[in-house]
Amino acid sequence: MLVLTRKIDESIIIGDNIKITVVDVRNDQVKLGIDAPREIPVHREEIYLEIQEENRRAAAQRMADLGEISKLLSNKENDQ
Amino acid sequence: MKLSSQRFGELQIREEKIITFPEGLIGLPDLKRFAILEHDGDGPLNWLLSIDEPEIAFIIIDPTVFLGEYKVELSKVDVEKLQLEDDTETAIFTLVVIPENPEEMTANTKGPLVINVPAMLGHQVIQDNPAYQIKHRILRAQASAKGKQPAKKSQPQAKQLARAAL
Repeated sequence: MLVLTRKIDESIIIGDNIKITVVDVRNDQVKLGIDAPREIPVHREEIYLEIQEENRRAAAQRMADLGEISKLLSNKENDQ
Repeated sequence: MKLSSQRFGELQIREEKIITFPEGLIGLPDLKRFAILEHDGDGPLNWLLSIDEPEIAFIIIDPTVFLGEYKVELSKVDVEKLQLEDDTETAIFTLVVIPENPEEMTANTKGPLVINVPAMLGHQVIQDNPAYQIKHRILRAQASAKGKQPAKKSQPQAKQLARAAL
């Protein structure tokens, strides 16, 4: 991994069109500004990890009676 | 295609009913091919069976059933991956987790599955919208969506995709 040291307001450039700037550093938190074209998705790593975890949880479910459970939803609809 | 799984027994899946996720799901890159199976009876929940790993089946729901309205934002990259044109028909589902008490079931509205229906091509996308949650309580959301917009009674997209899957 490439490790660079930057001060506040200094940036790094990735490729031709992604610029990451250190906006602020306070205690153990770093605030980053990201300039990237709209087509480049930028996400916090946590959200990937959380979705990954939730996908695995969703994959590990046992047999469920969807007919019965669906009734919970339709009952609520009928209450309207 | 013939499959067998403990859950569903012997299945014959028609090739044209297989939805391909070229990148798999997030964190599950080996699960690339799926088929939607309807359960017996009516209702908004359906199975998303992994063709590659037939012992794995996800439960899916159309999020508009409990939210009334659900808007997916796609990046340019997502649109390219899904090969979407302006008028391509899409289907959107969220993965459901049903805990011991089914009343507490949740859907992941932060990471919906988007399907290009004519191409049977799928991709899981990440939504930054803070209104959406990894564990979105379905019944609670449905209760508070009441009155805003009528929840749909069924899930026509899943039905359409599932119909004659077997």
